[in-house]
Amino acid sequence: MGETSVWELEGRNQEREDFKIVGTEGHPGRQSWDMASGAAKFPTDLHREGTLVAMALRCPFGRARVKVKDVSKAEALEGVRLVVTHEDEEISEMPRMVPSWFEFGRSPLLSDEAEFEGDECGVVVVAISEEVCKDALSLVEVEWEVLPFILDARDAAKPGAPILRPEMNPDSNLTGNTFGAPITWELGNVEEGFKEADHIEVIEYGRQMWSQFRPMPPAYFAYWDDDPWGNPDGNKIGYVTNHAHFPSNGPIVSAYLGAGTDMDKYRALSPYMAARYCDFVEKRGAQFAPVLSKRLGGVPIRYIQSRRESFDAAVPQSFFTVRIGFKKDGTLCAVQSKNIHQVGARGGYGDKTHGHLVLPANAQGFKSTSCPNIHSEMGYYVTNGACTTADPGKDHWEPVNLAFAKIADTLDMPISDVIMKNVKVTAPSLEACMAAGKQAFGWDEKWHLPGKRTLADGRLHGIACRSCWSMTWGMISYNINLRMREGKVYMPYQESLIGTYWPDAAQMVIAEETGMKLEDVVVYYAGHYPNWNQGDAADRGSTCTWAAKEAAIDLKRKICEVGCTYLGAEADEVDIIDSMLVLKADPSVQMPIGATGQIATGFCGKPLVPFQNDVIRTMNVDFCEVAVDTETGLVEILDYCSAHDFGKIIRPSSGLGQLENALTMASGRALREELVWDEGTGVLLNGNMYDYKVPTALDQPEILTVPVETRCGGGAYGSTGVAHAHCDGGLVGLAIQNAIGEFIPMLPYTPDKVLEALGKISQGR
Amino acid sequence: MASNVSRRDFLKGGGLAGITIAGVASLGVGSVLGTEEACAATATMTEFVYTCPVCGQHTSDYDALVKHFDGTHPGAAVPQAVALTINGTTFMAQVEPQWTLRETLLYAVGLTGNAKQMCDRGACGSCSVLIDGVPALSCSVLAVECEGRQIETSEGIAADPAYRPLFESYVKHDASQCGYCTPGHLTVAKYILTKYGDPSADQIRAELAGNICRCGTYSRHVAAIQEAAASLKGGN
Repeated sequence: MGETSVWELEGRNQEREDFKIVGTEGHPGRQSWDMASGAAKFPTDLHREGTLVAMALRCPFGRARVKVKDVSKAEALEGVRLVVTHEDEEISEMPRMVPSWFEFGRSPLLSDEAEFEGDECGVVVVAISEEVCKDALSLVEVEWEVLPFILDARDAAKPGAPILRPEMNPDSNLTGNTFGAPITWELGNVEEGFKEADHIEVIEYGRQMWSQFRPMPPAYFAYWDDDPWGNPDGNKIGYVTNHAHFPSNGPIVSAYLGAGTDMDKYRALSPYMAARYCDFVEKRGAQFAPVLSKRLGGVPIRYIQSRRESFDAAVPQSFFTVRIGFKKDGTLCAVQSKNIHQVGARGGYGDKTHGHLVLPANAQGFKSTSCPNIHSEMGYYVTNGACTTADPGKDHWEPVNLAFAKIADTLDMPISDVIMKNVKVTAPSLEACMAAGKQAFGWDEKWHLPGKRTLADGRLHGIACRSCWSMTWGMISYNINLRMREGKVYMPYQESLIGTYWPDAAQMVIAEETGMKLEDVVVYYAGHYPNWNQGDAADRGSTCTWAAKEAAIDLKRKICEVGCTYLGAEADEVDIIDSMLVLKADPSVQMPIGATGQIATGFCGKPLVPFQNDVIRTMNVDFCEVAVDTETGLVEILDYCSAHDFGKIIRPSSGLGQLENALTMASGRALREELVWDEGTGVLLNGNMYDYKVPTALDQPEILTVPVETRCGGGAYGSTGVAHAHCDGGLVGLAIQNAIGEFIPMLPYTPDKVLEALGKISQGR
Repeated sequence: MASNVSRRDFLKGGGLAGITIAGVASLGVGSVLGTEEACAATATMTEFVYTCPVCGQHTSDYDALVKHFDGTHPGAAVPQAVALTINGTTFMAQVEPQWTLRETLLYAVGLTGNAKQMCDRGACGSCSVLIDGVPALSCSVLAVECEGRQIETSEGIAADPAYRPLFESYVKHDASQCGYCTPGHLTVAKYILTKYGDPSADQIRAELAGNICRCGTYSRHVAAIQEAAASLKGGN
């Protein structure tokens, strides 16, 4: 059985129980009306008369070097305004600054080498239209030198593989990781652990590249203009669209890092950026658009990146081979893990994938088991194919749960029992999630040994569950500024929205703590407010609300300190109730808080939660039920059930929505999502939405969400993150194994792999 | 050519500093949206501006542009215009002959709700409009094909008090997450309500099968549409 988590409560009012607003339903989002009606302006919607279009030369090969021989014909074409090459003095120096955490893999903004098919290289053209840009690019005389490429991290790791980045590592394709995690580590003594084992098994887990698939293809739009709030130094202000939320307004960060200018010279153009999976991949257009605009006197520039070209950002490959030793009762006693993880190609901009932000995969998840002996060896390998996002840890649990399934299969136990025997540092969260989830899902009625149940229609039936930790981002400080004026509290934000409703959650927490009516707390987009990190991204909303809580407590204290004199009392003798300052002893004595004048405060900080998962407070358990057609290999997800420990659920509708989001995404990744390249040319074969099919309304499985609240998280009132934990598809594979009795070692679980596992076809793998 | 695009010349207050953004009050944007806190500022429509692609001169109506060409650029091809009826208003829109309805909505009309481009080939439904009451992909229809047809966009539906319950149920159920695809969904939602009156979950999912939402909000649309159907059936 697991261990109990122990930690210190952080911040004020974390133990609040008398919630009036937090956790309640029926509060439409600040942007909901505009998003539904179409009034919301996304970066793709922005247009100014006279807007010019920028397009880059894109590599048609898997990897190549381009020699730009002559651009004069392109320059002479009517409608062309500018042609720059990688030798351009300004462009060749970009980016001028990169964040300190990128110590390897730095790449220029535009070079003569393209690292994947579709990568920008050599030339960028600015013209009056997309058509003229295309014509101009076709007139540029170039010579391509096709270079060897690698699409699979396992191939990149092989001795004798072509060295893709000799300037970074002349000996191999191995690279480091951003946070300096060790390549090899060991807890206990693995060989001794295996000697104690009653059973030793080997598991294989592999995942091909998933497209990050942003619904809005990057639409970089920028111009330079006067600052309506004043230009003391006479410089124009760069207006830039948002496409990223971390670390705050990515393209803006990128622009000033890339150009080496100051952050206060940039303004965000839109609070909307559409969805994305995780972050870290932003493209070169983020820097090109403002730079090219400045070169042309500030004229609006739209840098084109088509949907096809937007398949260049992906969740990386990861391949695990894990030897596990366990005892007759199902407890792990030894784990030996080898992980080959993909870094992928460069092609992003200065502060993100420019140098790759690589987070440590490996056997981290096994650290959260009670297994005393773990050996982990990992390697990050650069490849071609596409840029990759970071992988902030949740995947570490995929091989862990696969190991649990292997133990369950070997010992004829339910995997739920194996989870409870082995996962530590989890009480009370894991127990609560497992109990609530099993009941909601009907686990005890549905579970059977592998291959033992056939549905009435002849398909095989399978179920599985898996555990995972819930992420709370404690890496970043959150900057919350509050101002009370005329009886309302205002919170400006600039960080673009990704769909988590974090400003609305912050609004609820601020109202709760200040005693204001919800409608008297106004969160509003302020494009001129160049603050950092307020709280978007899948799992950061909870820690952002923690900072909002701290700020709100400060603001209330200040209001009471000022207002108490009007009521002839001390500060601790007054309270704020429903936006009115009231005398505690006699609530009929009250006054509008607006009469206290304008009062402001700010809080910048973060809860003391760890970034990585050495300490786990909140868990979740997902359950899945599938039907497998043994004739066709088709898998149908019949039921998903997710028991998630929210710690404290702040805004229920969007909290549960994050579960639906992540599990829908996981269903696509489990059954069909995979980027496929031609092995001979390195050309992406399914870079469109017909061949790369994300789940539709008809594909979405039934999803039963079971909120659990243990108050154990690191966010406001013990809240915690949601989405990352549920995005992977490995659970479906475990349910398929329960149906057919065979493990499938590689996602996605397509019909061919199912039929191969059933022995009906052989693909020679 | 992008620099010669004619477009509505009006300002939408609030939200987006320093940029002229299209919004069309008489065509629908913002006029019935939400509470004061929750809605976009109501757009103020002035007039269309037609732009001479040769010299850049603006005119206030299409006939004046034609007259300008006859007098100033004799022999040059006169820019084309098409009579479009969008959300009940008919007007002459200066378009390039190859422009899709999506491009026209984005560049010439300024209604961007259904001008969203997620795919580039009719695979995502984000640009769904209603043409004569039936869902159509505005990325796959030429503007010049739309003359004489009734085009409805999400902004027009938002401006229709009869469909206020649909919007209320959409915001109540958080049918948007990132919001990029939502106007396309909502436009098809009106069609579903019109077609079925009291649609089942299966009917809604089938009709929305062509609208992709990466955020996985599908079940929210089902709940919102069914709730709206109940409200509409009960006379709001």
